[in-house]
Amino acid sequence: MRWSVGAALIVVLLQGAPEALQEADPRRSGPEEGVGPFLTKYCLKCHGPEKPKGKFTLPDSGAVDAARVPAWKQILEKLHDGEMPPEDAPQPSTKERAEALRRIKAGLAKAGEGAESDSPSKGNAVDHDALFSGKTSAGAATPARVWRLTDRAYENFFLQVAKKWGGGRVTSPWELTPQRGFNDYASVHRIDEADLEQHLRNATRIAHALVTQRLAKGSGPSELRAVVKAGASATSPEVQAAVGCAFQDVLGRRPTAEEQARYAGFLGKNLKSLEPEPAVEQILLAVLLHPEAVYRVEAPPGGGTRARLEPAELARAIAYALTDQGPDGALLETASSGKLSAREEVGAQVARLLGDPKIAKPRILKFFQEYFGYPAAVEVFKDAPAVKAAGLKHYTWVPLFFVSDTNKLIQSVLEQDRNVLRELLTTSETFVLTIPTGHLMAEVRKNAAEKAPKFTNPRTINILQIYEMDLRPADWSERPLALPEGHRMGILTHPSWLVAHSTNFENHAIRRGRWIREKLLGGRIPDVPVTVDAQLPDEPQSTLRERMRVTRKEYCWKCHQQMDPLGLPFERFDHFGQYRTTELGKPVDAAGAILRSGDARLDGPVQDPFDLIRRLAASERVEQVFVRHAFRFFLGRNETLEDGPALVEAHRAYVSSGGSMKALITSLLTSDPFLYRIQRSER
Amino acid sequence: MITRRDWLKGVSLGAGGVVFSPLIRSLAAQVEGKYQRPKRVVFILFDNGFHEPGAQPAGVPLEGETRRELPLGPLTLPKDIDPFAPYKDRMLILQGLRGEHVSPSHGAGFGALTGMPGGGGEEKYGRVLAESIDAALARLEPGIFPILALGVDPGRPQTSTVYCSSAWGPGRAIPVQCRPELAYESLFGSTGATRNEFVTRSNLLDFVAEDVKGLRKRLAGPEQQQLEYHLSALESLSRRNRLLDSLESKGELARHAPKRPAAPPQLMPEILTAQFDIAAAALTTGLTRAVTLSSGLCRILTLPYSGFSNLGVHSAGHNEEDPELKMSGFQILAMIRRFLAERTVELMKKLQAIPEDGGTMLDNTLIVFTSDSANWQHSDGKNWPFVLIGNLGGRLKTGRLVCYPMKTYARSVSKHTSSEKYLLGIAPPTNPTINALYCTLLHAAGAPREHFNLTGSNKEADKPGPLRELLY
Repeated sequence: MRWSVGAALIVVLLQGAPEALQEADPRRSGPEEGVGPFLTKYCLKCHGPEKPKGKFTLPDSGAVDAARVPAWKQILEKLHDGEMPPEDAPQPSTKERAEALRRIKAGLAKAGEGAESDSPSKGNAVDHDALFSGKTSAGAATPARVWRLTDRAYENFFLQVAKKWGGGRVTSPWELTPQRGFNDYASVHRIDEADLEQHLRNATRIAHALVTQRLAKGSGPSELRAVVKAGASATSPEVQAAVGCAFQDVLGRRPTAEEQARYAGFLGKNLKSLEPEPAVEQILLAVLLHPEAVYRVEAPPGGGTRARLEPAELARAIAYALTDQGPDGALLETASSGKLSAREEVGAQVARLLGDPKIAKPRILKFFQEYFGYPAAVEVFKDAPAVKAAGLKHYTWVPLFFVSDTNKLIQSVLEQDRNVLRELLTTSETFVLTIPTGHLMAEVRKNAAEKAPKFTNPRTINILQIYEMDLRPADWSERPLALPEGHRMGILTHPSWLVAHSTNFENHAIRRGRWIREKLLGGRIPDVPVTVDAQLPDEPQSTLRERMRVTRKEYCWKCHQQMDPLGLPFERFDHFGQYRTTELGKPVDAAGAILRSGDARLDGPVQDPFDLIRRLAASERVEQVFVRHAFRFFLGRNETLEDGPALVEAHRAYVSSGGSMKALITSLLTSDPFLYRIQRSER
Repeated sequence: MITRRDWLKGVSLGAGGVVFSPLIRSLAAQVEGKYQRPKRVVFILFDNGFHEPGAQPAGVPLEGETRRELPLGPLTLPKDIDPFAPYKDRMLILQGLRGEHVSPSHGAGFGALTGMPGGGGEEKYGRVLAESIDAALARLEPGIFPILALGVDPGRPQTSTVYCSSAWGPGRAIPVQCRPELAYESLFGSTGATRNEFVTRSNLLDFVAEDVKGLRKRLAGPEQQQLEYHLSALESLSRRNRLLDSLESKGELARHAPKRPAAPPQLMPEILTAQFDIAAAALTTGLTRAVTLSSGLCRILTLPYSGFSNLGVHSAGHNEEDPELKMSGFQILAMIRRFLAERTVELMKKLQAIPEDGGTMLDNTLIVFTSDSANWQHSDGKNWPFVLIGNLGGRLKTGRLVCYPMKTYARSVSKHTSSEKYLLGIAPPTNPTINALYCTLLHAAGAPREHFNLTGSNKEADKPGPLRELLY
């Protein structure tokens, strides 16, 4: 039976007779899997076979099947993003919607399909109030998964092997490409043919170095030398020992019995058909190409259902959550002694790593970089005429300097570890001239040391002009400096963030508003419909605010009301991040509004960016949304309703510690979603 | 549940893989005697736009109220593309196609070859929503490497693999190799490789695949699917090594492999030259039948065109001045286009030197020469110039310039400089889109369809079917 309005009537008439309905649709696979009643109730009226709206017709039945995967994905996205049912139609309850989403996702997973809603840009889809409702849920866990190592982690992993075997540094086959949301979700990355080719090259370089530069010259691991020497006449114990040695050196563990047998067989076979050196090289390559060398493998042992991560896997998960390195000695020892099975010990290890200043934890800064998005400033090109038009003294534009200053600011706030988010949003200080290039930094120091009357480098002069700082070299220091009073407030008014959210020629109020809507208010903005010609009119004599009148058309405003009023207050700055009071000879209008935030206490007009920021920084909801983002980054996935208690606890830990990032991270890394894995089918 | 076999059959197209349905369609068309597939396709893409004067023969106005078709024979090609002059009889120049829907400003990303809107802003560089035309043509008759995608990242010789132009389908971007030495290794093996190395590598990959299969059993759903890609890649590489072994044993690889550069090239002209040499060798050996070469990676980057100019890519597109060369940005872009045309002609000569089916390899090759950014850096897509070389087995009407109706508009190149104006073509909404051209190519190549990647309301942008005026 195809869907039809007739079918909808049947449903209404037969509400008390589900058997009859099932009989009417033999392909329906039962209420535990299908979403037939939901679609009939909320979707069929517009998307039946007769003149379907948007030319979209529902699949023939309510059972999610592999044959209509694209259609089911589309339904999932529309429901997930809250785009459907439309506002003027009857709405499902949060629970109904969540259940329908769960069933469609389960059906798609059964068909081997991931859902776009698992992508980093869709994290806010879960209802915020439901997440923080305080309802308990048993058995939160992350699906069993593999998580490709980051490019840095990959390079460091192979550097450790190269230190033992030779071959030097290798370059990762992949780079993390910027995505909306976070860059490194477990589900996003895969290893394809081009990656594998490069990985094979890297592995070959390292294995070849060991064989030709060490083993051939009588150095390197004795177990491997013995096999090279014996060749085809190597004994079984010698072959076994060589395999064990390769595993230990690369993966830091002994092979399982099955692996031992397979790898020994492979080595033995190669020793018969190849010269000893290439035969040994092949076994080294096989271990270097093992999945554990490129993935964090996080699966319940033996394909079990819900289980804690194995200690060795957990040690890797903790290490890679905070650093770009594998587990250090202390973590490995704790894992091998079995102590990591206690949640307290996990907490102690996380606290140790967080508390030790000698251990670099680049992932924490990375979280803030990806969250705020300011490093993208370096990609925003401004041409010479634009620099000139902005009134900068010199034709030179290097936004990297602002990014560097923001990095330093975040690190400084993290060192204090008090009210971290609020500080970052409201601080009136910035670091200045923490230039990451040697010769410029040398020049800054030289100007300061020589008590020069003023800085001489054109780039430095431009930076100070944008900061509105009349800084003499003698007053420069590596400490944060106060910004002009009333002109700046936190990262959202820092030139790095403003430039990152600008275009080549002007501000990007929409992108700024979208950032606030998504990253601070936890709102959802659908992707630009493909039919929309997203262009503002080309009117050189009109301000951006004036040209944005086109977004107020009814069709556009539905989405733009969620962004534009949040982004327009930043018109207080030009697209280089300079504070301004006039634009095109007219006073700047920096008014805006918070609309439909989900928290009535937040909503209302704002007079300028500082009013807006102050209000956001004081909001508990904003704090909770920040915690949600931290969850996503450190867990590598979007939150689900089952993760609610873990989020509530993480937020509690953050608040009760006075806004400590360390407390927040520790809470996340000792939560059930971090510690437990579950097979998809069990969810 | 989709079986692994189904999945591999329908979604993945690793080396040597075949997607059956287009083949069946194509065979049916051949039986009817309507089509002859091109044996080879080569797409040359470049950034910063194909400026109208760089494609329009001298003395022919861009503006016109009706469609004009002029024989190329008596016309003088502009300097950018005059290396193609000896091949005028095989050439087709097109002006007036539309591409507004793929937002080509700063490069259309995947939209240039898919004709599918990827959204505004940065999204278009990452969203892979449909099959691209090079892939659609490549899969009609795939070689050992179904497509060879090569790239050049201006100012960054260290860039290796990127995803920017081509895709087998939604979410299935095709990797583009920007480092010639790595492309060389993939195609022809390491320097001094012996036949045995191909076999040994194949055995290794088969062995390693068992570990991945073991891990796969511990996962379910999309997580399991992630490993399918890994497994498919291992199997594909293994299969490829066996095929390479077979070619090596016949002496084919050694006969056609270009000379391997002593050190990885660093400057853009050298990298481009090396990539073209590799492409020519891969085509002449039959390792591949489809090449896409993307100079600039379908977006605007900021580093300079090292080796051509020290002016940044972005600045060149804004027509800023290179103080060292005393050339404007547009002149530099014209110089690069000409360089690309010269390299393309060298490739064509290599194909022309090899007999095939009573003619030469070039007779069975289609070359598409265009920009990923339509007609200039900040293009709104209202004109997208193309040069095609090759007639698809006699189906395409070549030797002509086809100008669709257009008005022109003089606009400032940079928002802040009013002195210099650039004459842009403005096509009316009734002109065909780039999708219609791609649809026409597929039609002529034996894989006809009503539209190429036009969906929803965009479908109404073009009439269904091919552009009849381009076909016999």
